[in-house]
Amino acid sequence: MSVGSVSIRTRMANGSTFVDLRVSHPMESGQRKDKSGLVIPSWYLTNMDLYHNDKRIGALELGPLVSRNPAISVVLNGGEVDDVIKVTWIDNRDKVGEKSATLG
Amino acid sequence: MNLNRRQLLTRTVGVSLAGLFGVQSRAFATPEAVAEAVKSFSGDSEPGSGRIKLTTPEIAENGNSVPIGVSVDSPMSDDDYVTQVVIYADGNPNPDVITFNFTPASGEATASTRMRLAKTQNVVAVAKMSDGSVFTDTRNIKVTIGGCGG
Repeated sequence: MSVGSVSIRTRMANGSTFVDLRVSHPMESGQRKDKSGLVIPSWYLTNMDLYHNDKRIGALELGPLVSRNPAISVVLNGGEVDDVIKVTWIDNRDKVGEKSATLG
Repeated sequence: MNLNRRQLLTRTVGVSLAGLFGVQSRAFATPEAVAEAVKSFSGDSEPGSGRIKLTTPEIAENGNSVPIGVSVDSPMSDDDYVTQVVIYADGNPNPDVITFNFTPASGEATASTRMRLAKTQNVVAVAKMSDGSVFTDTRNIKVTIGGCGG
C-alpha cells in the first residue's frame, strides 16, 4: 500500500454501523534517528474528517504519538445499504487524500 | 559564500553538535503539563469522573503500538451529545495524542486507535459534553519497550 491509501471496512449491526479505518502512513514522530544519527523528519497525519452521505459526522486531530499506519474505529448511527462513507485526511506536509466506501 | 577548509570544518561540527544536544535535551511532557492541558481544555467546569471509560492494556509489551479505546456514556441526541474527546499522555515527548470530534450523527461516542508510549506512564482521556461539563478517566500503562525511537 502506498502512503495515504485508506482501507475502510464497515459492518452493520443493530442499527449501528461500525467503521474501521486503516490509513497507510509512516507517522514519523521526528524523534527517531537513522543509522547515521540524523533525525528522521516528522511526517504524520494531522486531521481526518469522516462523512456519511456528504454530511460531516466526525473529525479527528492526530499527533505524532499515533502509531504507524493508524487504525481507527468509530461507530455511526443508522446506515443503510448503498450509503456512502467518506474519509478525508491531511498530513503535516500538506498532502491530502480521500477514500469512499459504500455500505452493503 | 566562501568558506575555507577550517571554517567549513568548525561549522559542520558546530551544527552536528547542536543537533546532538538538541535531541538529548528534549523535554518530556510531565503530569503537570497534562493537568494544565486538561484545565485549559475544560475551561470553567470541574472535570468529573464516570461516564467516560478508557480501555487500555495494563502492560504494553511494545510501546510502538498500544491499543486504546475510549467510550463515553451519552445519548448522542441533538441537544445532549459529546463534542470532543482528547487523549493525553504524560510521559511522552508531547502530551497531545489524538482528539476525537463528535457530532450528534456520530451514533456512539466510541472510538479506538493505537498510540505510541515512550515509557510507563499515565494516559488521560477527557470528554467534553455539549452542555460544557467535562469528564475524565486515567489509566496507568506499564511499557516494556518504549516506542518513540531514540
